[in-house]
Amino acid sequence: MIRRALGFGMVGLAAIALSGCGLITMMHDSVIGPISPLGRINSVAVGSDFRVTDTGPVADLGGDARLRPTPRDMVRRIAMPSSYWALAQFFEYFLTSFSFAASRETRVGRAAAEDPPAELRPGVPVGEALARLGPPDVWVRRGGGSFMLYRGISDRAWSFYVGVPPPVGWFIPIPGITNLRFNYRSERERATKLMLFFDERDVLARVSSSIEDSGGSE
Amino acid sequence: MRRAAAALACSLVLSGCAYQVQQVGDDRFLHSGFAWEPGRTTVGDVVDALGPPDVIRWSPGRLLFVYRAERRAVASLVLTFYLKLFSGEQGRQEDATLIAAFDDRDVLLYHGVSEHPREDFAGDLGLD
Repeated sequence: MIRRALGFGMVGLAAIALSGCGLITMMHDSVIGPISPLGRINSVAVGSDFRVTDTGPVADLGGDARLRPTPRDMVRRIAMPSSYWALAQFFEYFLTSFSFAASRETRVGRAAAEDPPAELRPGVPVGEALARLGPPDVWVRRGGGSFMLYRGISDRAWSFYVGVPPPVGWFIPIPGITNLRFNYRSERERATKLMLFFDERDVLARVSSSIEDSGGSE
Repeated sequence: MRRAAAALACSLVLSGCAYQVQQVGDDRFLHSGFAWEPGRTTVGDVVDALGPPDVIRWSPGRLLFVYRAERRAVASLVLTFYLKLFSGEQGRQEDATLIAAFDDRDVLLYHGVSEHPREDFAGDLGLD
């Protein structure tokens, strides 16, 4: 009976020691945290606003949260739908970190995705332009005429990885094998813009688009 | 066989390296060779040559067009022996801006352009 109680006690102590604010975690973070492939475990384990970024899982450690056994937003992390998304991202991060080639394209705003409508020819009244394109980002009205500016963002990125990914290197019993790697990443963000010039009678006089200027290759 | 050896040598030389380059904005205004003539160049000429601006500022009597481009490069070296033993990073960020001012008649008053962001690989690695 006593042995069983001692066993449960030892398991309990081990669980506490291995928890997010336990002794082993603190020692790990303090001694080898900055260079550890696991990063700082304490902040991820007990911090709030858990999420996964390009550099791995992160959480915000408040000033008084360091010794908390559980995150301040434990309920949200476990029970809210967003927590499942964060969990999926967590696994996705480790899975996609093995990707040797990756590409990403993001477009924000209407002008980023489409050429100006063909109906927008000189002579169109300002009301029709507004009806087709919606409110502009910038509308400057002056005595001699006015102009509107619509903006969108086009973001493209690609990368390749040659060599042994660090997580795979952990399982290869050759010291320093993970040094055999090279990573290249290129990212380009461009604004696609559409500018409409109106005369003093609010009639479209000319259209200028960065999509047309660059041959539609945005 | 030689190619395989060269590829292996390159991978050994570049071991632990990472290179990231990020470009923001359209840098066409730096390469257009547009002839600026204060008092003659109009808003239409500028838009025809460089496209719509990134930012517009307007006040009575003044119209400002701003074009921007940015380049950021980071080269890093990380050496590991199960744990990270060494980590070094060299970064560089450069911005290019063009400002053109027009009067109420949309005629150019003045303009200014900053230097072109250098795209030299040696500079990105901190070797210049």
